[in-house]
Parts: sequence; C-alpha cells; structure tokens
Amino acid sequence: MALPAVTKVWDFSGINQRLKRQATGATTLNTFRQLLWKIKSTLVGWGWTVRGSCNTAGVYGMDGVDRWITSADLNWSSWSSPSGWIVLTKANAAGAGKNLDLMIWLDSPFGHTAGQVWVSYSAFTGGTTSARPTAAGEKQVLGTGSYAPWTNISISATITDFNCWFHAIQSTDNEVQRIFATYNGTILFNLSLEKAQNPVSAWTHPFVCAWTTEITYAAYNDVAAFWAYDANATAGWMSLYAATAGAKSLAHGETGMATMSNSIDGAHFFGDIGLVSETTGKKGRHGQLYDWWFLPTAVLTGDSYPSTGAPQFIAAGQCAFPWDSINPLRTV
Amino acid sequence: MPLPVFQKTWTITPNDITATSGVAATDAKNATLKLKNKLLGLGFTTGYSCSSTVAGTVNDGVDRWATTANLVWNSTTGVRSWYVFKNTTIGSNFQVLIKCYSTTNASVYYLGIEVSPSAGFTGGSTTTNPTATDAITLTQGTTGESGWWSGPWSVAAGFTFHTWVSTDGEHVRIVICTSANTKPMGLIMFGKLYNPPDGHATPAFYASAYSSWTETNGYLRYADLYEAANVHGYNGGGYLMHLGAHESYVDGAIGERQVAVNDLTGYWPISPCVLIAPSLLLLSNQSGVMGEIPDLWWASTGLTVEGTTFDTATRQMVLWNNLIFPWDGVTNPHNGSAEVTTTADVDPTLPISPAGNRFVPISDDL
Repeated sequence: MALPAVTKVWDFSGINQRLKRQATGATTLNTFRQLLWKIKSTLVGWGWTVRGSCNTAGVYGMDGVDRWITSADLNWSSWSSPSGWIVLTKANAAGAGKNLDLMIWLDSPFGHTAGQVWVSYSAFTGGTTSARPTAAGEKQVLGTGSYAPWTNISISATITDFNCWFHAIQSTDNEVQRIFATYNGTILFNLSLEKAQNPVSAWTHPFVCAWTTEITYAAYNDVAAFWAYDANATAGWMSLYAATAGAKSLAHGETGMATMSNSIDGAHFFGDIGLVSETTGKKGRHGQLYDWWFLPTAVLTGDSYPSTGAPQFIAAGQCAFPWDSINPLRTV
Repeated sequence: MPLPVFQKTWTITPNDITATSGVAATDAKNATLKLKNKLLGLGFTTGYSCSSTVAGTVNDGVDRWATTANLVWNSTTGVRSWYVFKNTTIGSNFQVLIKCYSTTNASVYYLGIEVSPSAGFTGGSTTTNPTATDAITLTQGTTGESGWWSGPWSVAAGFTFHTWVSTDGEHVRIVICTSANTKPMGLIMFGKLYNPPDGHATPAFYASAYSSWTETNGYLRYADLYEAANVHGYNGGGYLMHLGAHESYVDGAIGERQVAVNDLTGYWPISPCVLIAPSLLLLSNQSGVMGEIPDLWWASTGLTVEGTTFDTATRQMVLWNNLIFPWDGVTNPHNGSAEVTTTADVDPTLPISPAGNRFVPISDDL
C-alpha cells in the first residue's frame, strides 16, 4: 500500500488545541470568541500582521494595532451597531509585492454565530465601530453581501457552550495554511489560505482563499468555494471548484468513486484536486491544491491513514490532510 | 510548449484505409477480416479458429480466416465462423473470441466479441461456439450474444483503422472510422490496469465501444464511457467500470464543463482517465477505483473536429470523439472521409497524471 507523496513539509505544532467550554449551560459566545481569537492569533503567529482592528470597547483604528488582545475583545453586533473587526495582512501571499488583506467583521444580528470575511490585494482602509473597513477590489469570501454562519452551527441555534478542538497546519515555507476545528466528531469550519500548486503561468495571483463550514464534496466539489484573484484582461476575482477523480453514474462527479472503500482491498483512494474556474473571463483549470485529497464519502472525521502505525494522514470531513504521524486527530 | 510525458512507448499504425466496395454487406465482411488481421499484428496470436467448414482444436494455432469467403454468419444451429486469439502479455492466458453468430440476428453487421481473462476458450465446432467459464461479452447484447461493434452499416462505406500497441505489449487499441461520416464509430481496447488495488487477480480492462445501425455521432463519447459503465473488468467475476476523469466536479468531467479554451492560457483542458467500478448495488460485483489507463485523456466537448492533433508543433496526440490518444507526430489523421490537418493546443502542465498507487487502508479513530 503506497501512501501519497506529500509535496510540502508541514508544521503540525498547531494541531489538537483544546478549547474548553465556559461553564455548563453557558452560551456559546465564549467558545466562538475563543475560536475566532485563536484564528487571529494563529495567523499572527504565522507571520500575518495586523493592519487595524476594532474591539468590544468600540476602540478602533487602521493603525497596525491589535486590539483583539483576548477573546473578550471580540464583540458581535449588526450593521449600524458597534461590532468588532480586524484586518490582517499576509505579505507576498501571491508573489512578490502581492500582499493579501483578510478582514473579519463580527457583523451579525444573530450575534456570535455569524459574520463576514473579506479579502483584497489592496489595503483595507476606514472602518469604525459601526462600519467595516473597505478596500478597492475587495471580495467577500464568507457570506454574500451580508452575514453568514462561520461554523456549521446554525446562526439561530440555541445550543450551549461546548468543548471543541482547534487545528492549524501550515507548510514550513509559509505558503499553505489551513485552520479548522472539530466538535462532536464533525467539522466546525475550515479556513484555507494557500498558494496553488502548478499554477498556469498566466495566473497573476495564484493564491486561493476559502472559508467553509464543512470539508465535503458538497462544499468544494459541487460549489466553487475557493476565491482567487487574477489581474489579466478582465481583472477580478474568480471562484474555483475542487475537481477530483470521478465519473457520472448518478448525480455527482464523486459518485461511484467516492462512496465506498475499494471492494478488493478495502482501501481508500486519495483523489488529487485540481482548481477549475467557470467565472466569465477566467474560465479554465488553473492549478492544483497542495497535499489535499478527496476521500470516499463514507469516511469519518478522525479516521487516519494508514491503517496501522502512525497517522500520516487524517480524514477531516471527506478529505485527507497530512498529519504529524504521532497524534490522532481530536474530534470529541 | 511541454506536453504530457507518455507513460508508454507506442507503435502507432494510422490511417489503414479500405475503400468501400459499394455494397454494405461486403464492407462489413471486409472490416471483420481486417479486424482479425489487425489483432494478429498487435501482439495477439491465433489460438484456433473456424472457417464455417473446418473448425480447429484448442491451441492448434491455425488461421482459417484467409479471406472473407471464410466468414459465415448464422443465427441457428447451422454453420458459422469464429476465431480465438491469445495474448500472454495482457494476461497470462488472456484470450479473445470473435464469432459470426447471434441467436437473434445472423447479420454480417454483427459480431460477438468476448474475452476470457484467464480460463481460456475451449470447444467449438462448425455449428457451436467456443466457450470459456470466465467469458465476458463486450459487444452489444446480453451475455454470449453478438451485436454492433462498429458501423454504421446501414450504408456502403469504407473504413479506416487506427491502431496502437505499447512496445511492452500491455496495451492494445483500435479505433475505426467510416467514410459514412467523419466520426470514429468503433473502439476496441484491451490493457493492463495501471495502479490497480492490491489483490486484483486479473488486473486488466476490456472495452468495445460500438456503433449501431444508424448512429452517426461516434461512440467514444462521455455518454458512452464516462456516464455509462461500459468498460469491463474481471476479478473472480465480471464487473463494469466507468471510464472516469481524474478531474471531475459538480456533475461531470472537466472536459464536459469546460467547453472552451482556458481564458488565461488559450489552451484546451485534458484529463487523464481513471477506471471506476460503481456501487456494488449497481451492475457490478466490484466497487471503487480499479486503476488507471496510461496515455489516454478525456478532451473538452468544445473540440469537435475529429482527428484534431495536439499540439500544433508536435502533433503527438489526436482527438477521436471525446478521447485523446497518442499520435505519431507526422501523419494527418484520416477521419474516414478525409485527412484532417486541424491542430490545437492543450494545457499540459496541469492534468493530474496517475501518480502511483494511492489506495490507502484506513484506520478508525485512534
């Protein structure tokens, strides 16, 4: 049984971080604050810089100051009411001088279960306690013109605070970064910020961003969940599908390949992933993902590969990621 | 522009043209005889055969199909012709039976093409067909039946054979074009599974994509092979596979959804093939990815000129329907009606090529 060849060298120091619930019966606010604060802290730890921020106290500025000092500094509200935000910058994300700004806005009438995430290759400016920063050529990657749930927990859910696990992996060259969380055996969200593998040479900004609330065929293969910019003639953003091995036997490309283990050896096929756009003016297959594979849909989050010995890969949703070969993926 | 690196070295015999006789039935007989001769030139040897008047015995090695006069069709208990071929490279005892027989129709336009992955054909006489315990019927119809294998035969037409055999003998392909139109109307393909799962007893695939009486659109299409499970395999029992694409999304292959050149590069997409057996509940006694096929790619449906070669400079690949095959880099492909000089450029840098065995056993939560 040959394992897939891993292209990148990975830093697994951010996996299996336990986020404990506040108290029995408490609201989920504490957990959600911790999660978003951990995302910010992880990105900063990976070299992203803070361009500006706004905290619970309504103090804000696009001045390079990180006002999300603790998770308590995160405040959700809707539209004209005070709400927090932060702008992070990844220098040279898509190549020399192509810096990516990521803006997280805690905008939601439902509180902490929803928000908005925007990206831009020009700097975000402005922003107050009641208005988000904006940037020329910005693109919303979570939500469509409004707030959206940023985890797989419904924005109107009334569940109480819960324990969960936070996982962050990045390639040691800083080019590929993934952050996801697990809860009760499922995926809470996945933030993917990564350079494309083998991009077509004409693609000016070969870097993709996605924020999804599951890691499934439905999220990435049936929907163009990755966003990327290209400055060619019709400059702008394109959405990209994650294409993988399949054949049409029923409704989806994955059907037939992916629903089951191989009947002969019981093993799972790791499907490489291509990035394909149907955006007008940007159509075509433009690259691949590094070290990310589709799996049979029957897998369970937390399963690992190979079947014996160290877990070199883990199943997260319906996909496989490289893993540290030491620790199982914590999910419950 | 770099192009995909072939995984095999190929001996390609393009454009073997037989003009129409002016009589459809004669053309069909000529095509049948030519099919026999082609297989003998592609690494197959004669097992034994029957000319309708003389039936051989297992492994006598005698070719009794010298001319079309030796080809007799029947639909009853009467005399008929048949031919057993052997190939010890695709399988240690891989055999192919071609029989001019059908219980439903003795038409010269029908053939029965069966394979025996390992058991081998035995028996047969001038009035009975050889049989094999592991026989798989490739042509249209139910098990053991005959059916269409190329065409259309409704009109008199010449035909053009294009053949491929890898230098290691593991892969044999035949594409048949007809002067009745400009489409490839038949495909016969045998080969070893590339990167099969461990434990596959007879890791090979067998396919015949066939035309019908009046079909004019060719039969190497997504509809025939990607969307339908028409490629056969055998592992203690026959099973069917889709000719999948390494890159598929939403509801189809990249070539079905990307029907124009890449906006950023100006190149057409191609995708290597992967063989996928559908659910155990459907059609098959096996399921999952069974392996890959080297040097065969799905094309974009936006490419519509049969015989288009890729790329413009090297012409090292050729389009037949929705599939792309290796080409000799020199010859203008003949689509059955005329030579084709159209060229196009495909995007070579991105196809996800077969990357080796990636079947990985799973462990439940640790």
